[in-house]
Amino acid sequence: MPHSIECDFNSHTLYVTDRSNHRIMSYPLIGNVLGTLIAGGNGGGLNRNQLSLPVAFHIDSLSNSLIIANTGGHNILRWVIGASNWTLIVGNSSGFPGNTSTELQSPTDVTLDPMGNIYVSDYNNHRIQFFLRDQSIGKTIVGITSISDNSSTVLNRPISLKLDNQLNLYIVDHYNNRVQKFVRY
Amino acid sequence: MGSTNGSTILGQANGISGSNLSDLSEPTGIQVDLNGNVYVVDKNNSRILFLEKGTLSGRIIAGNGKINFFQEFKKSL
Repeated sequence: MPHSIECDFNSHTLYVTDRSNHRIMSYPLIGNVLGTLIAGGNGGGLNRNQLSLPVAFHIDSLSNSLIIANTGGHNILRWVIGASNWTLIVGNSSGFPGNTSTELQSPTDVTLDPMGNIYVSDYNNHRIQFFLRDQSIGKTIVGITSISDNSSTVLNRPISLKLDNQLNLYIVDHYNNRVQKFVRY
Repeated sequence: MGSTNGSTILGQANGISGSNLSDLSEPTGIQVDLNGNVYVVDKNNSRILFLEKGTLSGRIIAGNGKINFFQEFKKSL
């Protein structure tokens, strides 16, 4: 079942998460309609050649890799295009959830800013975690860990996020049925 | 670095779901273009809403609001 897509307009490639098959496929935007397996595809699991319910991802052109929100593994992974294994970026490599500054609980989306810093929608912790480039200790920049309500500083299961080119942050606040914008200053 | 106080740009700030063009019902995905316009997957309303920057309600750019639209769309592929 396809879940999310991202386009790389430089290479004219469409990437699709095939969540229930635990894999990410690529399709050329022009021509051939056959897909190519990019990541996972070895059943759901926690081994380094497997994904677990990948929901969304970010195309990191600089490193020719996909940064994957591996929801069922409670971690964020890097999968270099053409590689057969992932490397851990954030979270527990053994697939355990948690709510400390180095852990995630069902992360559902990830995006990067131009400096390579990472933003994660940490769905079941009701927070947005920020990781400086190459660091695995996160800081909560929106929401309160394990608290959910509908006030303007709190989230209720943030499911998706994006930055605009001024680094304002947009969050799909799933159970609050709203899109929240957080201004950069 | 950024505000921790969010402003609601689409949907109701109090979290109530709905089906008007300023409402959402269990939204799941988002894209932002270079101009700051926003595209939202409004799952339970079976539609994609486009929100032009600075405006208060969306415009349906895909889906017909019927629950089974995307299932039917998938079958037609």
